[in-house]
Amino acid sequence: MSIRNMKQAQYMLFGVIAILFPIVTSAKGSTITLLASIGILSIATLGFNVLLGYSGQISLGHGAFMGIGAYVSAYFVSQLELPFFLALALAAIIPFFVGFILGLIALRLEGHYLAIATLGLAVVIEEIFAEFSGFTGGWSGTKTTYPTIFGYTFDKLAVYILIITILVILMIVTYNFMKSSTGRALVAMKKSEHAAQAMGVSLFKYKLLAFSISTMYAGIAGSLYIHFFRFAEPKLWGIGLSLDLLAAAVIGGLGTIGGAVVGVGFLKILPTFLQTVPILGDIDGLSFVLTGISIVIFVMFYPKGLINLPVDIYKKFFSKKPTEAEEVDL
Amino acid sequence: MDLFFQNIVGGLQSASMYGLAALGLVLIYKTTGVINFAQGELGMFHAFIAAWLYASGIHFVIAIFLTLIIAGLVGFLIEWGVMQHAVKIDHLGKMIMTMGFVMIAQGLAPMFFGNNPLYFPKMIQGDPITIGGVSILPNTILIIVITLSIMGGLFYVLQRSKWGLAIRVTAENIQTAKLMGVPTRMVSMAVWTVGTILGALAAIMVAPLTTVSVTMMADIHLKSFISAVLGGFATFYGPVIGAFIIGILNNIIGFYISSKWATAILYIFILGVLIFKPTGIFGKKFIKKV
Repeated sequence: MSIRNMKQAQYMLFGVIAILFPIVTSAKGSTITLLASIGILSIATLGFNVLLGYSGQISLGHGAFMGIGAYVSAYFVSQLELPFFLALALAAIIPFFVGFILGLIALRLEGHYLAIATLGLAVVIEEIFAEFSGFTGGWSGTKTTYPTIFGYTFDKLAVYILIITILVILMIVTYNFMKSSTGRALVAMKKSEHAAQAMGVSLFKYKLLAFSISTMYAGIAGSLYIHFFRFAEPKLWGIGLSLDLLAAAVIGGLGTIGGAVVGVGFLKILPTFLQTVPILGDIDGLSFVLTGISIVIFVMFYPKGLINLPVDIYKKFFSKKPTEAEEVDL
Repeated sequence: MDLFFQNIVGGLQSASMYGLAALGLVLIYKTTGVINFAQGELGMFHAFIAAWLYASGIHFVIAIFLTLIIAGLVGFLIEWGVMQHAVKIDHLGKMIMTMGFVMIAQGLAPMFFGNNPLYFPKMIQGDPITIGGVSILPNTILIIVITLSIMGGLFYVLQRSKWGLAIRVTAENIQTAKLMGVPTRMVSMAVWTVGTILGALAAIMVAPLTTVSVTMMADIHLKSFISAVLGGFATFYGPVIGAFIIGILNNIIGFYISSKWATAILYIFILGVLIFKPTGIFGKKFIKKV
């Protein structure tokens, strides 16, 4: 069995490289920030991909769920002085329940009510975050510290390593989850809703499950966000963030695990890259426009996403064998 | 009691904007199956065009007409240049594409018009007119009159003309419509054009009440969706009536309960509608055939 077929080993290898890279190159603080934000958004996108890639539902409120996770985590760590991992767990569980209730309401109907209901959440949440100032610090934002685990206080690099570790763990968990019977049901739903239904897969139940699980990822990402940047304000969690997650999932490759990381990498490195290009770097909003165009192009011409690009190029130019029926690639 | 009527009149003004946007949404949704999430942001972009034209010295009436023509062109180009080539892509993919348009519009606006909010004037200046204890700005009356006449005109076209028949047939069943010789491609081009114009018109009407900025349409956009959910996506008139209910409720809640929480309360209200009457007021029972 070569490493090409061992996904778990690939994810771990990715994790090791991602951790070693800033250490070996003794990277600047801004590079670590960039890499960490890629890691954080990858976690959220991983969850978003479970929702969009498998249940075919769009959420415009995942940014809001990240916000809930972030504030919950900051509140428990800074105000109640709970241990970090407990706060992280709560930051996953509370969005899960909020998502569960919202999904219960919006997923009963065929169609795209979830997208509309979560759009509403994204618009309303900013006001809610701003008003509950005891909990969130209001418009001026809330501050928190780097996490402390067993008396050891993290520094910037250590939080980055924590983020990548959690990302890799979640990638492996997601992979194994997709191989479980529940995961198989989700894959069946992705392939054909009617066939899945005929096989006894309850669409409502599994869509609800996919949505609630994906909000959990968002909550974890939010918690890591606030403990890395140590600051958050209500404006952060609006619809723009959710659209970023959507863009990353689509560009990276829907229904794939590695695609989440590749998509977020594309999304985050693009503006940084554009800034280094003369003339283009001075144009406001160019990276937004390019991301939007990329979404349209990937949906229309290459829905498999960036993650599958190397394999397809390899097949096209080097492989003489006729390709067999492809297995579901995670 | 006067205050109550005052709020209803104010509500009619917001309702006009929600209604125009909601009608644009449902026109595109019913005929092509795509929920156009870019409606609000495209409207924002067009409001920027109008404000920019006005700032460069063009009379605002001409600026509005030019903007509406550009909006129609943009809607047409989106259909003709992009959506028409996406026949094989399912509705989900097309919806994701409209979210791509959201990002494009959000990026293009600061690129062309800078980061500062722009100003756009009211259509008529003038002191409020008092009718039976209720004072109304002339601009409010004009907004309501324009909206009602546009809607009246559109519904007349939908119900009476051959074009309207084509749109209604396409909305009912696109496959059958094609077989009956209805030019469904032309229909979808027409609805994208009209839908985008309606969104732009809503944005132009909002512009004087706030400023022209990237976030100006967030609230209207959401409320046009809420209106469509309340009225049901099954008919063309449902979302418009939904918009009038939402607009009036919005002002009444804002006045008697809390203006800060009006949107949040309406949001909870609409979640309630989804629980008890999920297909909306004028919804039909949805039967899916495999």
